[in-house]
Amino acid sequence: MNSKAVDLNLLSTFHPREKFATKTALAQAVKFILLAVTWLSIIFLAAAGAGVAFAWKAPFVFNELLPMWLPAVDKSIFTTLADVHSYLAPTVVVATIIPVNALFMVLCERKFLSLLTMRVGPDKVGPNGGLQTLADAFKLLFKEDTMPKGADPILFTLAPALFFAPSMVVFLPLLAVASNRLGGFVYTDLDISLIFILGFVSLGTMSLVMAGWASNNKYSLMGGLRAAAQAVSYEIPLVLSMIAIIMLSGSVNLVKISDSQAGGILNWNLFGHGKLPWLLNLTASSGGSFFEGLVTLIFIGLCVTLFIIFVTASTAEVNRIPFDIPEAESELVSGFNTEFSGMKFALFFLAEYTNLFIASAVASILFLGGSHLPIDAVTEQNLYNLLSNVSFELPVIGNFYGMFEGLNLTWVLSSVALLVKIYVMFLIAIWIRATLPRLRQDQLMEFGWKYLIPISLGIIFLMAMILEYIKL
Amino acid sequence: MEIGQIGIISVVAILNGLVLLGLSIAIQRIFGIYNPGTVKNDTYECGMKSEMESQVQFDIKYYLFAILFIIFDVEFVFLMPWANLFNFMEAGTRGFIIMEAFAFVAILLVGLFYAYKKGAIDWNQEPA
Repeated sequence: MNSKAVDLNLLSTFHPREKFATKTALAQAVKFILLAVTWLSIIFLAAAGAGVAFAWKAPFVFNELLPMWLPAVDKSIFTTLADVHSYLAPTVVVATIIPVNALFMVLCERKFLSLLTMRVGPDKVGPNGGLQTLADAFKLLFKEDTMPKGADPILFTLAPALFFAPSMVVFLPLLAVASNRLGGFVYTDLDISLIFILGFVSLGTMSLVMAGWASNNKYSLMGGLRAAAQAVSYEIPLVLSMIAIIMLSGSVNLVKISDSQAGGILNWNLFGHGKLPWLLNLTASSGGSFFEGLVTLIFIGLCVTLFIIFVTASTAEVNRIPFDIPEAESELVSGFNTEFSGMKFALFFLAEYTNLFIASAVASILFLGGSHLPIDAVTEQNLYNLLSNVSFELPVIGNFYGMFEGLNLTWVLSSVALLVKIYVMFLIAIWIRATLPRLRQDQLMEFGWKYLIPISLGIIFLMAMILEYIKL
Repeated sequence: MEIGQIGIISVVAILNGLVLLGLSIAIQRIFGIYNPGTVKNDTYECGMKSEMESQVQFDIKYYLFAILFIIFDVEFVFLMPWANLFNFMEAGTRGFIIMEAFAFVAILLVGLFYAYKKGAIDWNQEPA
């Protein structure tokens, strides 16, 4: 009796929340920002390094340097090599950026969630916990690889690889947007990149069903089935909101969609694709009609609704909380990846975060101006002109056969702008995770079919009518 | 050209996934521990002994939703070129194509409404 009372007393003196709130909230936020800046510059440098090593001025090396150094070899070999190289270069860049990026995304999520719930989060490995996920990855690499009794060995092994592959393929068209169609990345600028992304994202769902079926586990099977049902249900509002954006921008090429929103925050699709100045007609002094201003207000409301629908549907597509029914740990242990361990589990994890990154990237390209800075077009063009013709010499190798003459550094601006937008979208996804509880299966399906689909169809036709008859 | 690009990058990426998996499994087999056991490799069912077959029967609802999705999937294929065309045509001349697309979508919406009335998109209700 007596000892119990003492224990309760000890508990009553323990107030982690109050302690955190009063003393360290601001300090933790500052630490988080420092960590994010450090890691983001590492990611950016990794991507840029891989880009420099494999894609930057590659034709120069193959067409001029190598024939000069090896005059005995036939020139056509170098031309073929240059072709092969230019196809492989974007893939190498993606293979470099995906693991580094996913490592930071996991860490960022844990740190930001801990900020939102007033905890400290991981802080033991490395400065301020900065190396936590790296240590986790190494641990997973050496974990035992188990396979349950009765599992299908081929499908069980293939499923993680096939889940990872689409996320890597889908990453490629984003490079064309991020690098502003520069040099080696011109091959990734597909005319149908939006449809390409949609097609390959659906392949990922197939491998989830595969993983669920092959595991020989009831939880896994249910998880796989739920993943399929959820993916097909939420793909409809996702694509419908994309169709509305295609109507506004007039292309399925991500680079063209991004370019159509150049010239400041008012041209973003989120704020009505440059229709916002018409809103001034609401006031009598500008001389316009009140009706046009009102319609513009409705139009912008429709655009914002589309954005919300897109974010909801893509959150469901990538199985994030509050839509993570396929791996709901409170009912299905861990869903489709219950039986996976070691590196197979790590591949699922990697691909899931990469998919989230891609969803954020597509949202920022479709709605938030893509790789364009939120400044007016003239200033942006001046900045680009300033960066498009840079010359410098490195300390040891100097100018290196003219390799550092007339460099085009415009990709720095566009890729930094895109990266920042993507991470803002990612932080919003974490915020949603920290705020909303998980939906039930029936709520999830009915929300998709009864509300999102009719609303997004209605928005498409309202937008079409406004564009046609009011002629904004 | 475009098809060639897509084909090459998809093949390279899928090979990349397989190589990554093979490499990591090799690392595990060489440096990690590997000793399977009957209890360890049994199907996980919260610590209980697993009962019956694992590949159980599941609800017909999943199938219904997949069928409904196919209809809408076809709808995207037709609406995407429409949306593209909508932007290319001049304002004031597009009334007809709006009506066309509306008629097309309305037919599908009738189908969706029928499925709704029959309880096919109601998760808790048995389809009549």
